[in-house]
Amino acid sequence: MPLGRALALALLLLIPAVAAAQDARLTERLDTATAASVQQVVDSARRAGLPTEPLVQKALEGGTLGASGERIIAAVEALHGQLGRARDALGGSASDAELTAAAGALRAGLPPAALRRLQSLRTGRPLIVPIAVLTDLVAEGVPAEQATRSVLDLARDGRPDDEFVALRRQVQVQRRGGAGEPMNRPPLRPAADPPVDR
Amino acid sequence: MTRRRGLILCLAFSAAATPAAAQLAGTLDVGAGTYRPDRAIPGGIASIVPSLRYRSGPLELSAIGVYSDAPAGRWNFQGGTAASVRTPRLGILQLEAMGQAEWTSHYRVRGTTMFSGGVRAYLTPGSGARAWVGRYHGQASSLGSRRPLQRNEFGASARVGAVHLEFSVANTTVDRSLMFGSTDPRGDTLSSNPVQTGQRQVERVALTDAVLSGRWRIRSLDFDASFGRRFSRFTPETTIWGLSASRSIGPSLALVAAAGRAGSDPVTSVPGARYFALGLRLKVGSQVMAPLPARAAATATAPFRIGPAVAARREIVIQAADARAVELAGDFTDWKPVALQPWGDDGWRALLPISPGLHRLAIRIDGGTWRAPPGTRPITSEFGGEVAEVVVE
Repeated sequence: MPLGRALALALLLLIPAVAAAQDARLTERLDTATAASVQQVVDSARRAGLPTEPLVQKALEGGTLGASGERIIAAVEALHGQLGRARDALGGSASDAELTAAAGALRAGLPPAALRRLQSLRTGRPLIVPIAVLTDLVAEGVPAEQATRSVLDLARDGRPDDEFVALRRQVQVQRRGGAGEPMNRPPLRPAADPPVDR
Repeated sequence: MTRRRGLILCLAFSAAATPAAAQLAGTLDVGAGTYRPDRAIPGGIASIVPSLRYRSGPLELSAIGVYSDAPAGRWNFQGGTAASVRTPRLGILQLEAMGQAEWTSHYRVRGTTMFSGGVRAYLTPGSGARAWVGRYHGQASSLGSRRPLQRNEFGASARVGAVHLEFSVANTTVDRSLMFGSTDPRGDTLSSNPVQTGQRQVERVALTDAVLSGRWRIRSLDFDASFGRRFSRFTPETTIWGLSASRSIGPSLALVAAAGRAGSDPVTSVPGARYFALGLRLKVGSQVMAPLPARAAATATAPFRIGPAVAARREIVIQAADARAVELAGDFTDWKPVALQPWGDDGWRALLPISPGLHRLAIRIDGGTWRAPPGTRPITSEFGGEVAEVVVE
């Protein structure tokens, strides 16, 4: 086989392999430019040892919700940064799912120290549910310090995941279901004066 | 089977079929402000308002007390308790039986009492909206006389954006027994005979209150607002309103402020008033952060639930009664919309492979905008829509 034909054949074989490196879900659901930009962020995350699936899911979420390409790229880049900070907080041993949950916690305003403390109390056990519950409590309006203390208390006692979930449900019930005053009476309205005849 | 036995059986079944954990919430408001009653001396006032609410399955109990102290030792107390029991949902219908007692005590003046009971029927067509009708009967005691009363009401509530809105119309009819009759200056009572001084006259008073109220949160501030109008041929028409705001300043402490114009109570003859108060709210008996000893199970009628894994798939059920099409998208579907199938009376269902962990998702009803499933906390997406994050165990 002449050398030229051999090279051409090799190139033909390599093209599909290069194409396969680009996530097909991105190219199917996003426009070409947006898919390429997102793929660059995904590749960067892969090289840094960060989870890539959350980045792809973020882009797909943007596509389904009808976001523009610029917003999708900005959101994916922001998540890339959050995942990096999450790994700084939890270290290289954290799983992809834990890093994803931790990124959400940092985005909600929780300090990295809270995640590190939680990790030290849950040695050898998954952190996903405790971190997710902690994030959700803060999003519900519970002050971060109080939410952290409650979740750390459960972790310190070695409670299972379903007790973290139960804590979240309880807070949701109390903060939503109990929002109204008994008998719809506004708070602090003074007691009325005695009855009078017309 | 008699109707009474049927109701008891229904309530007993409801209590047994609802495994929700008991919840106790309580607050103590302490504040000071100004108070301008319609027929008494205005001035500064201090108030203490304890309240408790207990909920266990279909049963709910609540109690509230309001003590106010004005200068010159003029104090007033109002107390109230209420109990209600709800039946299980029958399609979009749910019934509630309730009883209520209220009483007042006053400095050097005899107080009032009021007892009432009735039933309420709720219609919940879905999407968090509901409507109701109710009818109550009772008796009030005030100014040395007893007054039968009846109240009919209807209302509706729904969430509009971040605001929970409620509109209600209540018509109250009360028989007033007057020892010293006089001709009605507005001529609208049912009595038509001339009344002589010293005779007892029974007259029927009717009035209708229409009230629109809303509740919403902006960052750490919770707001409650209400605005209404009293329509009556017997008492002067009045605009009634109230606005309160609270802001947490600690785990169990909040700043609260309230202002408003309360209408007079024609049943007990308690006068209306304008008020403004500022104070502190202490959360008592409400150990918000105390962990539950056992998992609180989701009920079968939860508006949105993800079931346990069976053969690598989980059942997702969404309550959306009036929907013609329901779609779900999430990170477990690569954000590809999945059409749910009708399930039961007003549910929609899909079986999907979902791994344990934190998942992000949204639903779309009848091709509308993407939003968080009912019963979940909505999160504003970076992309402008609304999604939810759920923990799958």
